[in-house]
Amino acid sequence: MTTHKKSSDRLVLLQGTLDLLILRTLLFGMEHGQGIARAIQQQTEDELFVDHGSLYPALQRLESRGWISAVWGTSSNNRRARFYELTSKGRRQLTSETQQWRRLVAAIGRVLGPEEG
Amino acid sequence: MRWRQRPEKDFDREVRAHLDLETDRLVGEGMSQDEARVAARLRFGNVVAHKEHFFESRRVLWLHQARQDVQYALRSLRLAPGFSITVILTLALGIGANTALFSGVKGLMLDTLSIAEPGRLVRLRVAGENDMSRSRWEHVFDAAARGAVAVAGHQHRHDLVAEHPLAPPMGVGAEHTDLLQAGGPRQPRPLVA
Repeated sequence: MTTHKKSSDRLVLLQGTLDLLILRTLLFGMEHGQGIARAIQQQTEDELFVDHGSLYPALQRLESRGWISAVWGTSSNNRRARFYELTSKGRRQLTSETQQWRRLVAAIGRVLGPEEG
Repeated sequence: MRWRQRPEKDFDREVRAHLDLETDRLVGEGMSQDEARVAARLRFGNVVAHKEHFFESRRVLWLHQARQDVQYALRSLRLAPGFSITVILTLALGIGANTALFSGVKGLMLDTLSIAEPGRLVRLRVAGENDMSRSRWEHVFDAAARGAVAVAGHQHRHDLVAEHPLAPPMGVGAEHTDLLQAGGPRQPRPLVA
């Protein structure tokens, strides 16, 4: 289904942005690790290369900070999976990190100037 | 920070669940079961590395970092040998001087003598006399045993002064006169260490 790009064409994730993407994905509701990986892959239209495995240390980090909580449950196709949910603290974190990200992008955009045609 | 200890088994189960779900999805896209399983593993990346990362993030990371810090410090020292030698010499001399000084002070002021009752040790001198001979001392002890000599005490200086009866009195410390009277000259106490 997806056009599989060569991994060399893919963007490498900036440090710290994976956390933001995970929090944002969980804004739509509970999800397990594989679902989060899928969602990120789809929404970035395969531009970002995220090792699915690298998600788990990030999830662990977010969980230990109290931004997400986890519970074992059953997936739609009847498999056991660990589901993650955004906490209210995580919601606040998402808001502030999103703002910071937009400011960062805007600032760097101003330095780089208008896109060359 | 909330830190729930999560057993390794739980993490293993989660990784397995992920691979199963991804395999299901790829099979749903038309892959064979085997193909899908391999693809899911590939997409997951190095399972062992991620697991290590997961555990490093909560356990032995500080140890690892401490080792790196030490290695970095040693490298920096090697890169600036002049500075390193100066610092090491300064420290060595400082520590050495301190140790030497303290050893002296300890011997002189802190250690007690290795005799039975060092607190009772006194230095005895006769007022107005220096360099007394042994026979002169025996004479003084005899006189003290007869009560003919008064002994004045300056305990805090570990100093006893035997006074000639003709000299003006200095105040006799009773606790010290027994030293001379009870022991007497014939069984000398360890007056001199």
